[in-house]
Amino acid sequence: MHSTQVRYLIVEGLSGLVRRRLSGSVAIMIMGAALLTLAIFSLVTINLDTLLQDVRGEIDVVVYLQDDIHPEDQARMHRDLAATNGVTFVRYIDRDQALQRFRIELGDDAELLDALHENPLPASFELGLSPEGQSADRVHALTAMAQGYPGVEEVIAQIDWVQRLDRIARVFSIVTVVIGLIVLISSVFVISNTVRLTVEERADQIEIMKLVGATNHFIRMPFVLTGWLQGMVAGLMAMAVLVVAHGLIAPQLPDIFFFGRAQLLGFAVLSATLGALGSSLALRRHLKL
Amino acid sequence: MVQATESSSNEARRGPAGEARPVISLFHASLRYGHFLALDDVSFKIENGEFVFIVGPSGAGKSSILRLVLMHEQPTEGEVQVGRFLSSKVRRREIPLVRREVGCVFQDFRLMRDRSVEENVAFAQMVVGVSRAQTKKNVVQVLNWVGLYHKRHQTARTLSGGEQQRVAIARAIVNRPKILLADEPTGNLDPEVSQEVLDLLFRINAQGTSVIMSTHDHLMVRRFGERVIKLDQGRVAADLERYRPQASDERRQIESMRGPSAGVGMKERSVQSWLQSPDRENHHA
Repeated sequence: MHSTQVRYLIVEGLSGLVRRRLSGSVAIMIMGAALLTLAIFSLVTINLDTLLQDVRGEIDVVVYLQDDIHPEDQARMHRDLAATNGVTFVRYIDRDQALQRFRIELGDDAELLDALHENPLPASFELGLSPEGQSADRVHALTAMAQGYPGVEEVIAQIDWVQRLDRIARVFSIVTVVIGLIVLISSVFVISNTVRLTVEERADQIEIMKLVGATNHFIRMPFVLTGWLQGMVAGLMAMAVLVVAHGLIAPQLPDIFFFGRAQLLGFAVLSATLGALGSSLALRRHLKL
Repeated sequence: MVQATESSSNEARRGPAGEARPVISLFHASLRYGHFLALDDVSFKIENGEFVFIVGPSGAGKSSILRLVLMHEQPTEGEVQVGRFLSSKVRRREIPLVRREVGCVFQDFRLMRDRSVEENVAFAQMVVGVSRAQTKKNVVQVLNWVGLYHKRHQTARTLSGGEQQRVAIARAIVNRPKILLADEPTGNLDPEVSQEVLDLLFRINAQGTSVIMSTHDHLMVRRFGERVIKLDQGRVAADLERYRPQASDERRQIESMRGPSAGVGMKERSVQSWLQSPDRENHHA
C-alpha cells in the first residue's frame, strides 16, 4: 500500500470519529456500559467459583455412629461405603480422635472440656465424594443408604447448602454467557448503526471509489478503522471504570479476584474487534458489487 | 509458445489465433429485473479504438449496458467481455480491475462537490495506489489537457456544468483506461458546452481509447458519422456502421489542426503524449 493511501485511511478513519461525534459518543457509551456489565458478571462468576471451591473442602458427608454400634455392622458399613460409586474415600474417626480434634479446634478454650467427665462426641465415618458423586440425586441416595444401616445416629450432608451455592454459581455463569452474547451482538449493532450514518453520508464517495476501481477492501478500511477506534475507546473506558471501582471495593474484600493487566487489555481488544466487525457489516449493502 | 512469452497487455488484445480481440463484446446478453427485461438478447462487439454512440429513449437499456460493462451487474443470460475479463468467469475481487480498464463519465458528473478540482482527479489515482509524486505530475498534465489547470484549487461545486464534466472526464482518464464510458455526458449541458465535451471525447478517442457514449439525442449522433447502436426496449434495433469515414477523418484532421479548441486550451500534441505515454501499457502492472 502506498503512503498516500495510508494517509487517506488514517485521515478518513479519524474524521469518521470526529464527524459523528454525538452518535459516536452515544454508541461508545452504550458499548462501554455493555462491556462493563459483562466484565462485572464475569468477575462475580469467577469469584463465586473460587469461594465455592474454598468452602466445599474435602469432606462432603459425615455419618455419625451410635456408641453401641456392633463392630461387625461397622466393618460391613465401612466396606459398603468405600465400594459405593462416587465415594472417593471413607475415613473412620473414633470418639477419642473426635475429642482430640475438638480440643485443637477450641484451642485456648480446650480446658472447658476438662469439666466433662465423659467424651460427648460420637464416632463417625467421613466421606469424600467425586464431582459426579456430588449431584443432588447421588448424595440423597447415599444418605438414604447410610441411614439404613443399624447403629447409625445421623447422616449429615454438607452438600445441601453447598449445592444451593453451586446452583447460584451455575446460574451466574449462564447469565454471564448470555450477557456476553448480548454484549457481543448489541455492540456490533450499535457500532454498525453509527458507522452506517457515516457510510450513508459518504455514499457518493464510495460510489466514486468503486467506479475508479477501488477494491472493496480499500473502501471498507477507513470505516473499519473508525469502528475499531470506537470499540477501543468504549473498551478502555469500561476497563477504567472497572479498575476504579475495584480500587474502592478491594480494601473491604482483600481476597477478591480481579483481572490482570493482560485480561483488561484483552477486553478492550475484544471491544475494538467488535467495533471493526460492526462497521464492516454497515458497509455490506454498499459493497455488494 | 510464442504467445506464452507475450506480455499480458498484448494477450488482452489478441485472441488465441492472434486476431484482435474486441475491447468489449456482448454475446446474447439479457438482463432481467424481476419481470422487467431491461436487455433482451443483445449482441455487439466494440473494437479497440472505436467510437460508438448508443442511442435510444430512456428505458431502452443504455444504462443497463453500461452497468454490464462496469460489471455492476451480471447478465441474466449470455456473456459480457471487457478486455481480458469475462462476466461468467470474473471473480468478485477482480471486478475493481475491470473498472480500472474503464473510465466513466455521467450526466450528473458525480464529483466530490466539496473537494477541489485537483483533489477530485487525484482521488482516482490515490485509490489505485499511484505515488504522490506521480499523481501530482499526472494531475497537472490531465488538468492542463482538459483546460482546467487554472481552476485546480476551486471546489467542484463552484464550477459551471461544462467545467464539472471536464473535471469528471479528467478523473476518468487520469488512470489511463483503455475504454471510456460516457453515460449521457451532455444531458445536463447546453448545446455549446455539449460540443466542447464531445470534442474532448473525440480527441480522447483519436488517441486510441475506445469511447462509448450513450445519449437519447439520436439526431445529433448521425452528424459525426461514427458508429451508432440504436436500442429500443432492451433490444438492438439497429447497429449502424461508421459511415463517411473520409469525412470523419477529415473532421478529426481539422480538429487537430485547429489546435486548442474553445475552452479546452491544450495542444493535440500534449494529448498524444498523455494517452500514448510509454507507461500507459504497464500502468497497472
